[in-house]
Amino acid sequence: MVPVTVRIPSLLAQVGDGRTTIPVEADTVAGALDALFAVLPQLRVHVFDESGAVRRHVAVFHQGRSAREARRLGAALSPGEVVTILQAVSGG
Amino acid sequence: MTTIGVGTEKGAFFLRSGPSWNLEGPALPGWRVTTFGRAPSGDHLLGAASHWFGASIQRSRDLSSWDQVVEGPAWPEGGDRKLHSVWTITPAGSSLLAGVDDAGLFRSDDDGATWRGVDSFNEHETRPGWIPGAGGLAAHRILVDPADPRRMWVAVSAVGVFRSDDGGATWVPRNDGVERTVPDDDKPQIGFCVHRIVADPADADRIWRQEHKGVFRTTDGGDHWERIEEGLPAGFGFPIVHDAASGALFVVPQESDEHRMPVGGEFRVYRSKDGGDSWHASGTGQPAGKLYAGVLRDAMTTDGKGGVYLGTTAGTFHYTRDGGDTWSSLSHVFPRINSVGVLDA
Repeated sequence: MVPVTVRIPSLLAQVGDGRTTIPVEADTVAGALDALFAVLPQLRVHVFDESGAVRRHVAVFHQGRSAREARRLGAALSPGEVVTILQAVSGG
Repeated sequence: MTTIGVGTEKGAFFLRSGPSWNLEGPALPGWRVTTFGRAPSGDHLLGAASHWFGASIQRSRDLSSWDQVVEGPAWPEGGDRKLHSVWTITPAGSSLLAGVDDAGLFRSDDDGATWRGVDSFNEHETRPGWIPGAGGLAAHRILVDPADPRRMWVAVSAVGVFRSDDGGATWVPRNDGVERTVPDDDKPQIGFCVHRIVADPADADRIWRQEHKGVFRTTDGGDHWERIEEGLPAGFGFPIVHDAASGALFVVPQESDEHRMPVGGEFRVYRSKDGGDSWHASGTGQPAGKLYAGVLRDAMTTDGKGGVYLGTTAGTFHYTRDGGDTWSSLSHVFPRINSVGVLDA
């Protein structure tokens, strides 16, 4: 596993521990999310819905590309990379 | 001191009484705060939801620092039900019950730390016929008989009121006498769009009901309902509350289910001093100008001492502390108000 960073939006930081940047160790994007949930288990329901997929209006980015689909959740990570969780642009 | 929770579309605010109201918050800014509750330990609870991130229950000892209940209400993974919001958190003996959207009940026996579904309700024989209304498909109100906690009533929007007489083992629709909103003759037990129910604290079988189709009352625990609208400018509305100190009832009539605004923009809280037999616009001090806003079903409450507190969809906040004789308005304007709760009094 390699050291990477998970960035989360302020809405999730409020129900997390206040941090918007969480260092974890993981091999894949999905692994980084699992590592995030190991630290902050309350965030799982906010990222994944009851179907087991990333919520419809939640975006996951890795190296400038969307990684929310199952195929890209398996993408390998290199040391120092960033996985970013964002709310999709929607609503008012 | 009285502390009032104001749950808004963009977080929770708190009003503390004193020479003037002291405003605190927002807590959980950006989260839609849908209801307030209290754990047996005294911890405060609230329902928080997000368009993006789903729903949860949050817990606090001091209304300042909030922690999410990690093992909160959740529908099984892989099923077709989703947790959109928590509509009510209600004490039931030493337990807690939560009503949620998609409609269902969850129970906690450990001070709100872990929750499990109430299968007898969630898999009710009528469940396949439950259809969402404009506000969703929510189990939004739970009443428990203080003299016999085995007797409970649950209100589900666009479905109706269910009663259990056996501690939640079985549930029976109790809506006879109420006009149906979804008149599907293939499903005669359901299709009643209940917006809010409130019980007489001295007699749990005496329940008042603000329905999509008007205002109703039962004196036999829901076996029979009768319409009670004498003096109201409209039957439609969302909240109905009962002031234990005076025995008065309060509703906020709105013009038809299509417009959902006060009749002519005249925002008035109506009061009944005779158990619902007749209604009158209450007291003085209600908004002088036009106010084209509604009051949502969880956004009006009482403190049992003559205090009635309500917030509007326009974010204005109004209250009386003398049972509706005189009303005041806060100068603050909040985001859309979903819920108002008396957190201690």
